[in-house]
Amino acid sequence: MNQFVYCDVNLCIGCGMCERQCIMSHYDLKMTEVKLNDPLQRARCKTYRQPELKAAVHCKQCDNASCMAACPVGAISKRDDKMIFIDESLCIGCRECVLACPFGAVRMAPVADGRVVATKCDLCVDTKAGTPACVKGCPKKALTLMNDETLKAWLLHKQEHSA
Amino acid sequence: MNRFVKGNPLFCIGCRTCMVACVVAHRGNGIFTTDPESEDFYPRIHVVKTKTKTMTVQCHQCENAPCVKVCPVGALEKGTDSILLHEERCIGCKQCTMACPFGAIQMKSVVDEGTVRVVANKCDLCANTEEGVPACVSHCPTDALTFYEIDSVQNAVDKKNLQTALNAWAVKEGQV
Repeated sequence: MNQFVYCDVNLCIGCGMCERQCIMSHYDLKMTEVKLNDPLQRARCKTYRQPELKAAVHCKQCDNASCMAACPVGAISKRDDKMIFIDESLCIGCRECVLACPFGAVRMAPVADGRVVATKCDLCVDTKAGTPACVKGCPKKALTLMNDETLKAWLLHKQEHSA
Repeated sequence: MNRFVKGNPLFCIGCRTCMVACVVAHRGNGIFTTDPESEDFYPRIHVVKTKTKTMTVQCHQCENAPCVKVCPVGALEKGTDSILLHEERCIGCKQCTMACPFGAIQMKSVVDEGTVRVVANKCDLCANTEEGVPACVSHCPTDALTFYEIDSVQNAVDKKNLQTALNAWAVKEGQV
């Protein structure tokens, strides 16, 4: 099973810290250097803070990913047996994955060399820390990296609660 | 971001009206008054039929188009909102045809001042036609074709993303 970042909406306050942590982690920036409106600083998740909606949306790292099936050049593949990864160097910018994702989790964004490529949550796999910065940085601990272990614990908690 | 046309296989009935509309829009004269033996038919959109579905294939106006990369003479280049094909520069090397992962570029014969040239042929979003807007989209009888303009993709993504958040919110404990 692929790992993925899960947002517990019971805890989320829609503060958007996860978006900032994502940018800081991927571009090696300090909090003060983050500019949310700079298209070259792309957050891979999106938060909502409305009176009746506080949630963060991440790529679900689907095990039978629509984006992977839609990619005509094999730029999207399963990596390390635990996630769906977009190889930006292979991306031709055809937008098939963007349109295929049922969650709107894949977006087109410009990169430094002038190309426009598909981007989505990559579990911070190529960053210094190597683990999702959003999970660590969430002030309410609303985000969890779900893997076999954490998912089991989460399910057990739910099952015991409902029993 | 580039504009582009995309088909929806759920609505496509495989009637090929889009292919005819494409040819007529680019040629400008009535197709029913033309002797079928006298002209060749080179649509820039293609209907593909498999056992289970019918679907259109046309240029995706890719942001990092492989056809642009392989063209040795710059006949294919990135425009402001589409991938442009300058037929007069095309030397007929066919590498774009091989490079396109969708098979959306094909070769066609054109008569240029008496000589026959074989050049590449791909969707130009009807930029050089009288209507100026994609004829396939306006003529599709089932609205299976959509013209994605500059913000369309972003809007479609934002809508799905928001719905995902709303769905998660809907199962919040203490709420219906």
